[in-house]
Amino acid sequence: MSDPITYVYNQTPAPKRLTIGGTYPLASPDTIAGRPYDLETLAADANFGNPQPITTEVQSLLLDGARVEHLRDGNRESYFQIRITADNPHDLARGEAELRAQLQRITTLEWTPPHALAPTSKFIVVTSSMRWLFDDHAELQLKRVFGVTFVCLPHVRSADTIVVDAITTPGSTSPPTITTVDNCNATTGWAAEWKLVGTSDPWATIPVTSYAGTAIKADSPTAGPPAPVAVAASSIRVSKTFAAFDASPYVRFTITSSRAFDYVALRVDDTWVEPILVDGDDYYFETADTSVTFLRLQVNWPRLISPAYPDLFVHDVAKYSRLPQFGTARELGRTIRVHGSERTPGSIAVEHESTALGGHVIVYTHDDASGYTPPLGPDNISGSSSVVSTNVSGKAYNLDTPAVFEKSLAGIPAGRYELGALLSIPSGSGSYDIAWSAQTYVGGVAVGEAQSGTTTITWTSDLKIYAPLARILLPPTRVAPGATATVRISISDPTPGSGPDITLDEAWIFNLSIGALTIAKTTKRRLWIDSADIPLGVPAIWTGDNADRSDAYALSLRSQVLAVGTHVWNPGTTSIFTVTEGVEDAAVSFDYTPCWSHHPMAITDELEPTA
Amino acid sequence: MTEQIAVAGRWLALQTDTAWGDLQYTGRHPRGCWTAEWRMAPGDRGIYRGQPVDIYDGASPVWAGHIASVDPLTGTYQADGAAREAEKRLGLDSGGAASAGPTTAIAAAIARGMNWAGHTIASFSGDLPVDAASLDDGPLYLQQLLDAGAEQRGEEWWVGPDRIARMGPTTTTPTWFLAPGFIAPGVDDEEYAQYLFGRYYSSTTSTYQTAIAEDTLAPYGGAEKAVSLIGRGAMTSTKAATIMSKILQRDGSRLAVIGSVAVDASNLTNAGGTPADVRLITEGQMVRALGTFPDARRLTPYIDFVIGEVRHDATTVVTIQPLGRAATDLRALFEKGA
Repeated sequence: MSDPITYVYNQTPAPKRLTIGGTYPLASPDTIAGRPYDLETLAADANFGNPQPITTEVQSLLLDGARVEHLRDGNRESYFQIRITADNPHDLARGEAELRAQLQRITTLEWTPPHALAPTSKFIVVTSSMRWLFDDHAELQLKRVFGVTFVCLPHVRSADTIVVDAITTPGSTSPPTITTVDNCNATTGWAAEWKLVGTSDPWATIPVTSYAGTAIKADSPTAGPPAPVAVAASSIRVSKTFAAFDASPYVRFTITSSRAFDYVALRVDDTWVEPILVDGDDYYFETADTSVTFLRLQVNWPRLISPAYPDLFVHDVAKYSRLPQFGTARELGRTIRVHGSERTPGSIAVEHESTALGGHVIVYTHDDASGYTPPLGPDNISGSSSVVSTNVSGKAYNLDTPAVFEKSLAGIPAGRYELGALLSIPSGSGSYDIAWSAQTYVGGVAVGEAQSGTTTITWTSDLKIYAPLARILLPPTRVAPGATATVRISISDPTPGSGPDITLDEAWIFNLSIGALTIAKTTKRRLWIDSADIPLGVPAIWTGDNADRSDAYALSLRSQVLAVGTHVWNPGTTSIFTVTEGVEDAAVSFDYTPCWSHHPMAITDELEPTA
Repeated sequence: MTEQIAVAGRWLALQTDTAWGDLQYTGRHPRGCWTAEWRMAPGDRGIYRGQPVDIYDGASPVWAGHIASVDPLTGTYQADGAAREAEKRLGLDSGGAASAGPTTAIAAAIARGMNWAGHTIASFSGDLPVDAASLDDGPLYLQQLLDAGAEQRGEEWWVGPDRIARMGPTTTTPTWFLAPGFIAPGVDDEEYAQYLFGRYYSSTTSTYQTAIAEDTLAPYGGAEKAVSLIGRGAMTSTKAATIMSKILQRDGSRLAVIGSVAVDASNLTNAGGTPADVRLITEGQMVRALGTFPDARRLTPYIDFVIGEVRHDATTVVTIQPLGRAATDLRALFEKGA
């Protein structure tokens, strides 16, 4: 490359929309009042840079080439030539000094493309430096050109932060009031359409049949490409027109399919909404519509290796007065949409206006579409339990009898799980063993090998503790795609009768392959979990009573925080599961700034599902 | 990286000055947690030699040890696993006298400040691995006592992430299955011995004697090795023979495996076929490498090997080294010589 300075005089200035920190324009002179010098960014060699992928080679049997895994993105380097012009050497040097004062610090580089509707890209500058590009001819003209390098985080941010408000259902008490909208025992009024995703083909009408008298089945065309060719992504939508009814605040669809789908949305009259909670086969949608006459549910499947396109079964449609809870309203789940094209830092707030959250506060996030939820209590099939309304699960299990839980395997995405439980002893302290096992069941019969073990749990001062019982690979035995199977998890005292009675409040399986787990202890009314972000580069967990964080302090001791999760906010939908041991109906909200590869989109509330 | 580091009871990630990266931690069988290292910004980060280090995955501990080396100029931090405290603790009893009982010595060392939470090792009372009279010269180190105890029982000892010392036989049940034809470890007869000749000092004849243990299956050829039991003091011929047979059972008739294998979810599963999450792989687990014959005479088309060392880092690939790996590179030969 030739010396960049030879290009400078032939270039027009870059758009007048480049600033440092939003306040220091790197623009042409006529826009800046009060500057005794002119400052221009030249188009020559201007470069916003690109994220540097950080990868690792994975061993394989390829003769040539290699499998490569993308780990993360490294910083980008942006480079601009900035020309300072002044009437005298003093102002020329002042321009240089003022430019220098903006560099070598954490700030933003904000760029608005020329089109009137283009949103601003905010590059997060980690550091920056300047280099003098000397030219004797320019010195005579009182002009100096500096090459400025900005080292930026790899992705750009939208200009505005998005706040995902907490779900509140004023005046409603748990459990929710459930009103049937359609029990799907008959096909009356239902219509279904099918289409290949991403094609321009029109929606094709497909038959709706009754399935076992308890569900309707939308039959996709059987003729597809012959196996084992990958079947293309497909989509089904089912619709029904109703006499006007009040659907607010929540509508629940119970749906299943022979294959795992990866997207669900509901059109309520003219508005599309995405699920606000997914629990197993139940998809909950929030709507403010009090006079609904039309519902249309759309489900998308990814590309599948399968001889046939999957069918959709709708088992039930109902209206809920509030979202359901797991056990008690101390355990809540919700799904949020994260905008952007890159993962982004964010902040979760778990709050209650009047009552302390803890004991334990658990926050678990994941972005899997299987309907997986961590709590085992709602899936209890045997054991010795009594009702304890102040417990998280609403029950207390005496572990002298094994407490057995059975979850649908379809709702257990394969991966590394932490089996954890809230366990109590009546008094004192000591170390006691807890036995656990996990086994796959097909048709009610155990198959494959069981995973099992015994873990020694130590109580020192608190009588009720969160105890990690095991790290296990689930499912213990996998089953064919679409097969109906369950996983049974048993937790017991291996030596019943000796030592104190150990009681279990609630147990969870947290998938750590696809999610992140934070467990903190607080006696305050609010807890915030902030992702690592510039400038500090570390995450933080804050607790306090005031909503404006004016009395918030950081939790950083192992005795205050039992698990620190790296909560990842990928674009798309993410599920947040929370447990607040001390209070029901804690409000969970989330705020973040959408992150993009290079250019932000304008964020709108309008949703149009991919089809 | 989903793991998190706590030093001296504080989460490094939740303090503003202690952002870290490049964490690697290893475990060995026997011994358990072995080394950990990570990097932080240069300068004094308030982390000093001897502070306890715990690494967690979720709320579960996965590694425990203490800070062994701090380099504030480069920001490099190294920690030694909990088991390695035994290298530096003497085998004493609660009164400070030399002890020949591993469990007594562990309890006394914990009382003197060794950062172990306890042990589940059955008492050696009545069958001490070292003759008490041989301690007149001075105490052994705790590690030597535990090694002698484990050898006597044909077992291994280790300290896990819960800081509890355990002793038990090496597993014989595979936890993981390595896909056939993918990556197979090589085999070597370097570490193998068919005959073990053990010299010991007889307590009945007050002379030096030899106890011989033989692997009658002899599947891999007739290698011979000498073992010295003299450091354990006087013993009966029965005890010497028992120890020798346990040593043969544990170390002798084993196929040595060359090299290490890199595994990930594409080539490793559990018994039920679920792809592995490599963070669940730990030292001491058994891996069945399918599709590989150990020698020309066997009909079983697989090799079972126990994971002797595993190194975890931020990737989804993990490198495992089989137990009893033949020393085929310079570093391994030096370590062996030491």
